Amino acid sequence: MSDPAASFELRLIQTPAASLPCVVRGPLNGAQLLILPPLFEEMNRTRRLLAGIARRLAEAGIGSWLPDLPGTGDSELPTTAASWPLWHDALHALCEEIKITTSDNLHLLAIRGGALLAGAAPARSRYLLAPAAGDRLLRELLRARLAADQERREPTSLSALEARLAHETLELAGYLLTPVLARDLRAATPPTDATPTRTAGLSGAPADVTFEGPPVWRQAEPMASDMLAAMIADDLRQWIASCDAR
Amino acid sequence: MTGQASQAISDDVTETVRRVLADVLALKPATAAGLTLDTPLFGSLPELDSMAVAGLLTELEDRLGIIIDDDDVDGELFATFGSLVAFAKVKVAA
Repeated sequence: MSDPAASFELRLIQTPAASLPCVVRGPLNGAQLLILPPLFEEMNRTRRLLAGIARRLAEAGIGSWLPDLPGTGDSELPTTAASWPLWHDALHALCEEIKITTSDNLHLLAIRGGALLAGAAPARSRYLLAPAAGDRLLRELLRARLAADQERREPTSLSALEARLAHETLELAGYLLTPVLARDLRAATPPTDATPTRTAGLSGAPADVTFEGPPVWRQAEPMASDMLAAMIADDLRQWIASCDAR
Repeated sequence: MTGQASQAISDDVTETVRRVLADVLALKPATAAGLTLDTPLFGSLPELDSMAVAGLLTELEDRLGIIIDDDDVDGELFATFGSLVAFAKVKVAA
């Protein structure tokens, strides 16, 4: 007998836009959660927290889907192929696929920059963890490049980097950003439509609920986040139940 | 009274900077609590790489409600805990 709560599968989901590597956890016959991870390096740092949340949700009967967006993670496409329209198309197709193959009760968890893509993933509800505006994320990537250039004694300026990024692909914090992706990232904001939405934050940022815990997406060697994962999973489980009861 | 109030605000800034350093660099609680104004940062904390610098600046902006001009940022800013705190206090007072 296999235990659905312990079920863990790496699926390659075929969509018209691209094939999406996707970690699928937990039972498929209850509510499902699409997880939109943070963008770029923050994604890697958050991996363990997300696994902890997904494991606990699986034990509570909620299945989850964590994709690698085209051009990121295990995707077959190069980083420079990543684009906002491609990500939108892939997510839309993935949501359709999840709804067809499961109970058609899909909810969404998006973290940091993942929240910028939430509008492309039709779901019954959204849970946004520390959502970040696109212009802030881009500025932070540029700052990392600026600091790295200074360390190499090749000082430049933020405005000079921005000017180059308008027409040339730049390596920012380990990722190649094309001018088109940079432009779309800068303009992106978390969605504000009528989908029921709960926001969660850390240490004092305005949100519907605030947790005490380390901002692991900022940490090169993330601190243990088991307690944080447990608190978020618990709140998320109750949120999904309250949305399903409506 | 005025003096006490500004002293209290200053202490808040110091503690916020301490907390931001601890969070972004994933410092052990004892290391974070032991930071004094003379504690060297850049070159002494291996965690302080270019991405951490970017994270620190952004997190300081968010938590202190300040805007940091990147032309003000150089190695001197991160020389010691005290230099970072002094910089943050100037920005908060501006």
